[in-house]
Amino acid sequence: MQFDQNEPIEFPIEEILDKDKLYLRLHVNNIDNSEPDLKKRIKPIAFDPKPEGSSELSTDWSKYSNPLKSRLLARKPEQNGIVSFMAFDIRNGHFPLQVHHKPEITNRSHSIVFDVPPNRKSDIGFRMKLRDLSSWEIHCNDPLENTHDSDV
Amino acid sequence: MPGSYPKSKTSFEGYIKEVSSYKRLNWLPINEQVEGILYAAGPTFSHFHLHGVREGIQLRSYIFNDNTIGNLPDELSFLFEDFNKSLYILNLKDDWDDEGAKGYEEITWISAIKFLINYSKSLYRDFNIRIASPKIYHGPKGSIDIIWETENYRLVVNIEKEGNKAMFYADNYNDQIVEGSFHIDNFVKNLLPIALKF
Repeated sequence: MQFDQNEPIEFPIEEILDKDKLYLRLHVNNIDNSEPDLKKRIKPIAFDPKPEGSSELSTDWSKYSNPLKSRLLARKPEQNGIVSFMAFDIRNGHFPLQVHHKPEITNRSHSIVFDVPPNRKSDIGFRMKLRDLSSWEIHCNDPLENTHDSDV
Repeated sequence: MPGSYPKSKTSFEGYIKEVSSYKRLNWLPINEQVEGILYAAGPTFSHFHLHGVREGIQLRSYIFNDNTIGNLPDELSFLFEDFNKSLYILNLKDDWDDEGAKGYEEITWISAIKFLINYSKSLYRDFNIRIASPKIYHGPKGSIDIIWETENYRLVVNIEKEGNKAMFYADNYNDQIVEGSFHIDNFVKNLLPIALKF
């Protein structure tokens, strides 16, 4: 069987375990640096799905990524920070959400948190609860480090 | 000159000159014309004794682009600083997040500020309640988030794009939650959670 080296590889969909982490990029414009509390520093809009109207929040799975690699996927990495969630917490939180692996050709770690509003009447509670579950991995003003984007 | 209020339960207009003796008394509701000389009073009392010269409640105007958005009594003018901090929202242009997010409309921001002015003023005037200082941030889909976070609870009011409707959410950081929606121009403030200033 011949393989076309130019043909993009489709990664298989895998199961994300409860113990795994998910990384979310936060743009510097979604951070209030005047707020002393590190978690309250995150403006709730940071947890709004993109593009507008979508019900899926894009994240990177820790099995195939890490905070640094996730940050480097941003258009302007130096303008982004990274927070993490435990898959268990998202699945078992007050607003239970689903977490699924949805690999992309250019990003095997890509995963989604979904069942997010606009199905619900309001998305405010969802955004606040996700903020509660988040943990800082890289702050927006942390300097970029040299890293090799090695294959996984 | 003694002032007097009709004892009838239906009529309640009166005239008093000395305000400072009364402005802290919760049983004296003050109607919209507080900056004038007309006060409305409830039917639970029949007359006041007047003395001295009326001192009006000082009001400060919040002005944006040469237009007055609203005014607040001195005791609530600390909110102006919060309004000013939120002006950054109007500087968020399209693609402000490097992922194609849209900018924000002035009308939405003005609506959020007007809501805060009217809401805080009515709570202070009618119940002698001073709301806490809020954080005013850009929200999803062109909306504005108004957030109060205290040690024990948080309250978020989201003013939708173009500023006609709003949603609110409040919790105790745990499983006590209340949420709902209302129209900016027509709502019953008693049905909204209140962010008290301690």
